[in-house]
Parts: sequence; structure tokens; C-alpha cells
Amino acid sequence: MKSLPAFSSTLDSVVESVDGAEESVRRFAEEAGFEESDRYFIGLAVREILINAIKHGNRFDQSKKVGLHLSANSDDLTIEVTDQGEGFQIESVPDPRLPENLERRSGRGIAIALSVMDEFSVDRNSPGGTHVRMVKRLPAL
Amino acid sequence: MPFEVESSALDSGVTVLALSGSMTMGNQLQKLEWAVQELTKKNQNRIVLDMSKISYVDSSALGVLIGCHGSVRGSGGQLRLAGVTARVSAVFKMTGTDQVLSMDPTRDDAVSALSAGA
Repeated sequence: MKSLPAFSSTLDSVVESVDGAEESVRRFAEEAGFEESDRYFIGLAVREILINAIKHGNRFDQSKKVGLHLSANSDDLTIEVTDQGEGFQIESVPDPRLPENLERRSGRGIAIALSVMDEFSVDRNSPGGTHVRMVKRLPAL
Repeated sequence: MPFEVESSALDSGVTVLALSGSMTMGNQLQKLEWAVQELTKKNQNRIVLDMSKISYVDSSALGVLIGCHGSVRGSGGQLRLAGVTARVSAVFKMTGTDQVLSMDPTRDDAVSALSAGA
């Protein structure tokens, strides 16, 4: 794979920001060498984390922004999403696949990202907010 | 793609809601909830959701589908999904949604299952 320049974008905290950002991620993943099926699920995983940042992180506060940063090397694609909200602990997010949570209406976005990505971590951002880092490895040739 | 819901009442008493477009947050997912609410109010609570023209769902859509399932069941009826594409099915599996919703390969299969249960 050729070396790709990193991509960064700052999004407003509105749902309408997400479609364009997802499209950017899919294009970047294509440049990085991922096949269409992988791009579909990578795009969905990033959509979920962006919605999470806008809705649960920044709580649709127009004065707060969501950051998206993409980078790739010959082995993998790294996606980072930051918000300016209160932050959350991944351990506190209920697993929607447990019997007691199956009929909950919310809480499935993180499960999608965890299933799609090879690495997923959540950290407190400094000075505040949440930093989500996701890595998807390129399939071995 | 805009999300659309088209309703067809069958002689068997089953109603088919044919869905099309992208099922994502901000794309008028409430259309489906409204359609299901209208049907259950009229006691038309044997409902098939034809998903064969849905190629993309996010977690908000999963929440809406589970909400519809719950409201139909609460009214004493049954909701079945038909024609779920492989990728949408994969998203259902990732999230456990496949354990909640009843699914059939085709619309005819789902209609037959509900007609037989009448």
C-alpha cells in the first residue's frame, strides 16, 4: 500500500455532520486498501462512534465540536474520534447481547464498533471529553 | 437514500410494511413507528416488515425495530421481518438483535407464518 497522508476533520455536533464524515472514512479506507465489504462495516462503526460523540458526549451542544482523525500504514487503519463532553467508561456501557439487555432500545453502537474493529479503546481526553481510538488491520495478502 | 414505508393490507389480515432506503438516525425512522402504532391501534397487529430493500441500518434503526417488536407484542400481535440482507443480518448478530426479532427468508414465508398463526 502506498503511504497515505493523515486526514483530520472537525465536525459540528449535529446528526447531519455524520453522513459526510462517514463517506470520508470510506474513501480513506479504500485508499488504504480495504475491500468494499470492510469499508461498509468500518463506515458503520465510525458512524456509531460519531453519533455517540454528538449525542452522548457533546449532547448536541453547538458550541462543542467532534474531532475525526484518520491515519494508515501498510498494516492497519487507525481512526480517532474526540468529543468535548463529560466522558464515559466503556465498562459502564451495558452489553446489548446479554439476556437482560436484549430488548433495550439503545446501547448497540459500541457493540457494533467492538465487533468490527480489531482494537478499540476509550480514554478521557485532556482537558475534558472522550477520545476513542479504533484500529482495523488490513487483511493479509 | 430517504427512508420510506409502504403499507399493504392482505386478505389474510396480515399487513406488510415494505421498507426502503437507509435506516439511520436522522432519516425519519419515526415513519416506521407511526405506521406500526396506527396498525396496532386498529388491532391490525400481524405485521411483516419487508426488509429486502434495506441495505443499511445503524443502531438507532435497531432500537426502532426492537421498539416496534415490543409494541406489537404488547398489543397481542406478532411482528416478523422478511428478506433481511446478509450485511444487515450481520449487524443484527453483532448486537444480539437477531435473538429478539423473528425473521424469515422471504416476504411470502413471513406472511405464511403469520397467516398460519391466525
